[in-house]
Amino acid sequence: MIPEGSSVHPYAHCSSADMSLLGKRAAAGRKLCSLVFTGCQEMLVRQLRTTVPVFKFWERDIKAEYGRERKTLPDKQMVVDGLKELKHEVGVWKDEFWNKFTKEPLFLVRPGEVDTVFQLNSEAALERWIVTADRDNSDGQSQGELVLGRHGKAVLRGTLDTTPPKDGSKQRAGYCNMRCLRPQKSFKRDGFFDWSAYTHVVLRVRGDGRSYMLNLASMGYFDLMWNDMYSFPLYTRGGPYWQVSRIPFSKFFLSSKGRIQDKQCPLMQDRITSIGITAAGVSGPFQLEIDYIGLEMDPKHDEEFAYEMYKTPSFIAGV
Amino acid sequence: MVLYFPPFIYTFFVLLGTIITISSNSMFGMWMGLEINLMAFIPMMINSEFNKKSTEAAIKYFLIQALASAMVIFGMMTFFMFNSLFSSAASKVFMSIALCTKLGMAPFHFWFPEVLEGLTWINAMILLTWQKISPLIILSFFLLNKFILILAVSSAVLGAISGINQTSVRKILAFSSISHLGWITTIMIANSSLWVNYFLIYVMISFILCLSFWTLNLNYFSQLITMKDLSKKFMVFINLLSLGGLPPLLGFLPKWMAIYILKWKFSVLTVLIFSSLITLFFYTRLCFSTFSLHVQNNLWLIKENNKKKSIILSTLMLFSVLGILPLSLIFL
Repeated sequence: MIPEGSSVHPYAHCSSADMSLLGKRAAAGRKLCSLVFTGCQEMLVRQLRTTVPVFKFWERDIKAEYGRERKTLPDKQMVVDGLKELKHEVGVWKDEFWNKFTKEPLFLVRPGEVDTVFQLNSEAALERWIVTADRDNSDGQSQGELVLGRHGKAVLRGTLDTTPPKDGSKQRAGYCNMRCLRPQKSFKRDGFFDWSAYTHVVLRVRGDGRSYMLNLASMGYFDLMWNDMYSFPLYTRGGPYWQVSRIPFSKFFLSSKGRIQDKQCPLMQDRITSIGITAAGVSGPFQLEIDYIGLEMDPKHDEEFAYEMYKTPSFIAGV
Repeated sequence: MVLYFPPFIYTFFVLLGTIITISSNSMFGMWMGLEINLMAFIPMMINSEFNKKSTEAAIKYFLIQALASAMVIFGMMTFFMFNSLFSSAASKVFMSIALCTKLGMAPFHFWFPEVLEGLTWINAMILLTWQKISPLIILSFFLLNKFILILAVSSAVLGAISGINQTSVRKILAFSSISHLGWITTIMIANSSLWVNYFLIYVMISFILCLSFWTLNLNYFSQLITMKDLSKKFMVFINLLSLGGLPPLLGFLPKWMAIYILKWKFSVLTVLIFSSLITLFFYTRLCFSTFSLHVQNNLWLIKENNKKKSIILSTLMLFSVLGILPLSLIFL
């Protein structure tokens, strides 16, 4: 027993072998403590990340991070509105049923002819399009609108601003997107655009020299595939003349939430949910006049998919 | 992803699964065979094509079939609830529902066209033919007449009505499969062994059709119209009409057998015949459009000259046209 107040070293009673073992243990303990401390430091520093971490096993909501709390109407109002919509939907269902038994599906698509899907020359046509820009989601300062221009055609115009918002949550900013509504069957069931008989998308546009991105969203059934988007740049000339861009379906590459996927596969032409055009990348004003968006069948086009997939070892190509 | 097992191993297990199911003495062995079959078929679906469509089809197939397998084993367990085998109707209902989901019979058929849409032709052939053997055989043991009759008749009718405005070839095959399953189960109710003959002839016709669509690389009927070769169009349509059950062709033979068997159940027979008339209507309309719609400029039509393919397809078509004569002497 070591008496209190003495100046003897606490471990004076131990032998030299014990001392070396104790020394080793102490050193190990100190090392462990420093590791934990630096780990804590790193964790604290890592809290100030600039991208949204995703710790989810599955995605509950289609809107994901952009879901908003919306005001709900009083119950009685909802019931009344619902009954009105019910009447309309029953009418749509009756038409569908009648068309199914009396009309034939489109068997023959004439080669070389353009079948217009969207003719953007009236307010009613523009109501089927949704325009979103940075500013709407507090992601930046860009803004955009889709209006009928001087020549009776739709104009997508606005300004892009690529400075990211000051709260540091985003690293890049600056986009404006127009997207058509998803086709709906009766009773608000989700439908698809069935463009399996065609090979090319044809757009008659008059741009301002910028490169826009043409997106074909083909939302999958499962949550992993909800954000599947097939894209290809739409290059514009900027001149006073209209241009007709013909882009084959085989050139579209797969991306999801803005990230181009390692494992590419061709677009499923009968499972397209919407078509859209995005302006992004360079700050400044943009203007794109759109006459029509159509489809063409070119029998000489035999390219199935423009991008080759090479066989890579496991876990190299993200699969 | 690099997988080290060749497709032969998957085929082996698919075959093994069905054979275990058919030849097992206990219900548990039967369920085991169903599971082996399912687990081996899924990598076959995924590996053949690295495509979003086939992945989605495989996931949907797995979810539906796993649910059905769970219901099968649950149904099996309810058999032992009342201290006696095969006496409880509720257990038979459970088993029937689960097996109908596995088969793709109405009203549990909604997964079938979507899954078939995403498969390659070989896998489609297997899904249409081999994957139906084990559930049908088990269904023939756990038959509850009135209940299955409702399912069978609704299969035939729904298969016919849903197939009306389809342009995709695979979906047409799926709906005709649903329709034929209705006929097979109706024969099963009336007579316990001749449904196998119906099934075998259906397998033959499906095989011929899938082979022709595979060699001609057809996924949609609009592609058939731009084909210059009349003989190929003719081959596809003879086989398609045979599938519909048009009289002098092979596909009429199983329906002829069914008419003999169902002589005493006239109301059921009428409904079934009307449903097959609806499918025939659609096939003849397709036939009419394909042969009469003309594409003006001949420069654009793709010409394919492959003698081997044509010889194989022609012999099979000959079997389809003339097969009814010898087979009717054997079966009827």
